[in-house]
Amino acid sequence: MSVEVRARERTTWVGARRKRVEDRRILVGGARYTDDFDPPGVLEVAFVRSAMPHARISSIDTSAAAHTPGVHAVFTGADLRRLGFGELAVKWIYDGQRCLSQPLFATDKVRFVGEPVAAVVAESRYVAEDAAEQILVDYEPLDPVVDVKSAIAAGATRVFDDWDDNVMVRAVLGGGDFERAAAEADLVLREEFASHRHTAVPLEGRGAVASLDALTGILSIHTSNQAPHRAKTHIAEYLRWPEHRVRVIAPDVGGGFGVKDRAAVEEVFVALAATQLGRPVKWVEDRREHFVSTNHAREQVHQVEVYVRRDGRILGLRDRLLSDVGAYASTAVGIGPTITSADLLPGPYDIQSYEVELLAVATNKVPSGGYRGFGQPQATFVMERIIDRVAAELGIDPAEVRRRNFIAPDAFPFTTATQVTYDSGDYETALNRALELLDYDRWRTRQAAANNGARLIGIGLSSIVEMTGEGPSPAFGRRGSRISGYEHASVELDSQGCATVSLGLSPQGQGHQTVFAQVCADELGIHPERVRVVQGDTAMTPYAVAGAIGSRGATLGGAAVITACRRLRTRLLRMAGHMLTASAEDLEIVDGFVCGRHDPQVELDLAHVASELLLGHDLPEGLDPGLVEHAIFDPTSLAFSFGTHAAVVEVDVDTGLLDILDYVIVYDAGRVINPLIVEGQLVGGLAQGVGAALLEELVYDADGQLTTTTFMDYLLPTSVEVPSVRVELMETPAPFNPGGIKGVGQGSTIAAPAAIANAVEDALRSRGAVVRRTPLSPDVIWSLARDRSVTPDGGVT
Amino acid sequence: MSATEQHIEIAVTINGQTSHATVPSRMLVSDLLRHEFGLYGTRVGCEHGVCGACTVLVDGVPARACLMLAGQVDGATVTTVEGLAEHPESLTPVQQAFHEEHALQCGFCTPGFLISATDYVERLTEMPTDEEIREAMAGNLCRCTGYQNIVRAVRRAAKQRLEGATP
Repeated sequence: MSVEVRARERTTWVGARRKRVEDRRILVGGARYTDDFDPPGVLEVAFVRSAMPHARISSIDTSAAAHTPGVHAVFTGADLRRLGFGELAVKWIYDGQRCLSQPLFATDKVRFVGEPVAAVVAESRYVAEDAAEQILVDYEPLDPVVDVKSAIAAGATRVFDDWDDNVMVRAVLGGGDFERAAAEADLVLREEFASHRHTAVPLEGRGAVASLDALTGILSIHTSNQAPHRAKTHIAEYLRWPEHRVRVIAPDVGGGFGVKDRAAVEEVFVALAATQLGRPVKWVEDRREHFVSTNHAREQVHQVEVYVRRDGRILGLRDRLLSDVGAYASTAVGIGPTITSADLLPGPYDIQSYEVELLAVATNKVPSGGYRGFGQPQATFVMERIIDRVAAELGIDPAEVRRRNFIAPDAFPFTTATQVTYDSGDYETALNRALELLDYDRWRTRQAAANNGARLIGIGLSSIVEMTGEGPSPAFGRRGSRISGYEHASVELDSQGCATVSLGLSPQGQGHQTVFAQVCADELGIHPERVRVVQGDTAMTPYAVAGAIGSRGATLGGAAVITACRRLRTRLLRMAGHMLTASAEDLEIVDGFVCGRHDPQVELDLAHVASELLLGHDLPEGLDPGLVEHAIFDPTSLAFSFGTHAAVVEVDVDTGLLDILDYVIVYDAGRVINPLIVEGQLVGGLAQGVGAALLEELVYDADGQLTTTTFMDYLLPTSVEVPSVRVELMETPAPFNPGGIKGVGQGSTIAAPAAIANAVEDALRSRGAVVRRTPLSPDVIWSLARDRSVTPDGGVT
Repeated sequence: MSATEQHIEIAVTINGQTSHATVPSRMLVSDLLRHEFGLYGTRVGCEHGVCGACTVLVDGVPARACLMLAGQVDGATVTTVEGLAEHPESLTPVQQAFHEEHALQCGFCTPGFLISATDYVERLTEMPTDEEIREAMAGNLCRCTGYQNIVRAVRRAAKQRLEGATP
């Protein structure tokens, strides 16, 4: 009797457009975010926040609040000091940096509107807010330092009394032969460009719920966070507790985008209060608090000098970067975004001589920190504006100026003037494809035809690189950061051949459960429905300190999962070889079965192999029982994604209103795990870029008051403002990643503001407009259309 | 709640079930649903009526739960995201369309969008243009998706309702 055996068909899950496994819980209202946790007996916190941008505190009277019915405790900075608690340390300290910590509560003086001064813990938020209003703080007002240029002027008021000026960090990066660049240049361009203050604004704000279990002594903290292990380490360090007594859970998180990269002063206070009061303590910020306390981002001025040859080739670039950091360095990332702006300003271009002098400056505004793009959107705005200015000055097509300056595809790995190494790229192909997809020539023709009316058409390009998968760990150390570059995953198979993948990294909507199941499924030869992904709880996941920041989830989390799965697969195949009396090299796992590579007759259910390996009754020589493997993946190189955005806008010169007529994204993030999710990241990032370019601005008045603290003043883009967009993916595999995966989270937010700004200037070029800052609100566009160049300070010259 | 606070008694039918509660008179409907009745699916994103994450149906009409006091729903019928599907295992066509089109990421805004979209799709008499869908959805903010897939999802659900097309 002969039975025909057909070889099992291998399904490849990486690259498949799998719908998300996360969706169902969310769609039926079953997701659980931080504010959805109401442990029995929970008390709620209301912070008293400074109403003054800069003032000495002469007294704080908490007596009325403390006696309000329903109030359990009131804390000030003095109370914390009495309890032996100090300031929260900054975890990323650049060479020569001042500002090494931030107080939980201001004691001697307040440095920004919104800075916590005291906190009330009461039986409800309603009661806590009533009592907080009863706290009387006496201030002696000081002059506020609101503007970065006046902050560095001689004799400026100082944000920190013990500094001799307001400069937190001064550094010079890069270098080159500027004498030669000057000698060979046909054109020297001098410009000032500025990125305005705006920030992430996730729909869910920050929050924390902390409970101390009196019997086990374990402090559990649910917190809306991108990096639960990091939060655990820093809370334990602050409380001077062993880390094993602190458990941090990031449940469902309603967006992060960089501003939830740590336990900030408020979350640390919630943890501390729970340990002091022996009751669960909760704080969930309201939207106004979010605007006046959650980190701001992006505010920079760049004064550039560019040496250019007649053919458009950029020979040298000097930049003076003034970064308005706000009142404190971010406790998570210090002035990291400023350093990254400086490091990556040349983007995809081969600029041999590049030097930047950066000044990170303290002002009386909300501290700034990470936000999607981490310094790269500002750098891209400057660089892409330079390219278009060069094109306009020399009368060369802006696409051609890009081509003439791109790093060549055979030049990788490419090390920049600031000693950053790009792993791989093919920038011209992405640009050319974007032009094709947009039908660039046709739009140029339409633009010429429309050039005389009240509605002018402009085309803007933005070619970028995106730094992803940051590491290796020593590189963080060299830059002064107390985090590591690795990601950590474990994979465990059960007796039925189902896998549990656990990662230290945790998601905020990126679809990790879907994509890591796809990655694991391919490596172990099982269906993704047989993979469960566990994240977000430090008690259930392996340690990785960095968290979901800087487009590292897929690339480094994915690499860790691949590495752990390959180790497990090796063990499974050795066991299967033992059971089948075959060589492990001749076996593979396909669709849940161990199969012969060359002999389809050989087949063994993976569950059978798994249960035998779990039991360990009969193992091959040298193989330990058990079915769990860990992998720590510390990258040897950064992985640079890249691409081009192309925007077509129509500007109404009479009203200043702008329509985006067409928008194209061509993007390369290495090997794509799930195109549905990658496209979702690219379109979602675009919305934030559109907001940055046109709508969103954190506006301080001359007195240091933030005037945009509601969604009626701080305008997030709606479905009407975000254009419909065509996305096309390219795949240049990351050479130093086992899956070829690069990150994709930040690219569109980096690219979009420059593409739109370039399009606006292009539309208004015949009227002499030069776009020097964002956002391009209707009044700014209206002014630009009247040949009045808008200066970086927002004034019209 | 503190002893000095004024309390009111209310009776409200939520997702087909009538509940009674005694709550502070200043309590918001968003807090009532979430913290009194444990219906956490209604999200609070701004508490000033702009973001739309707390949108629920009050007597069949979309309303911002963060702009209403508990007393205002006394005697009313409220539908939250938990009440959209008839069974926990099933999804409505709008919910299913959001899944098919990848119209959600972090999910925080999703319940509000589902309520707005459900109401919109049910009231349609003819197939809307994408521009009309965009206008209709502009009362809800999403920070993750860039809206394109939400528009697609609403279009898919609208098409299914008007043309009986299966997704």
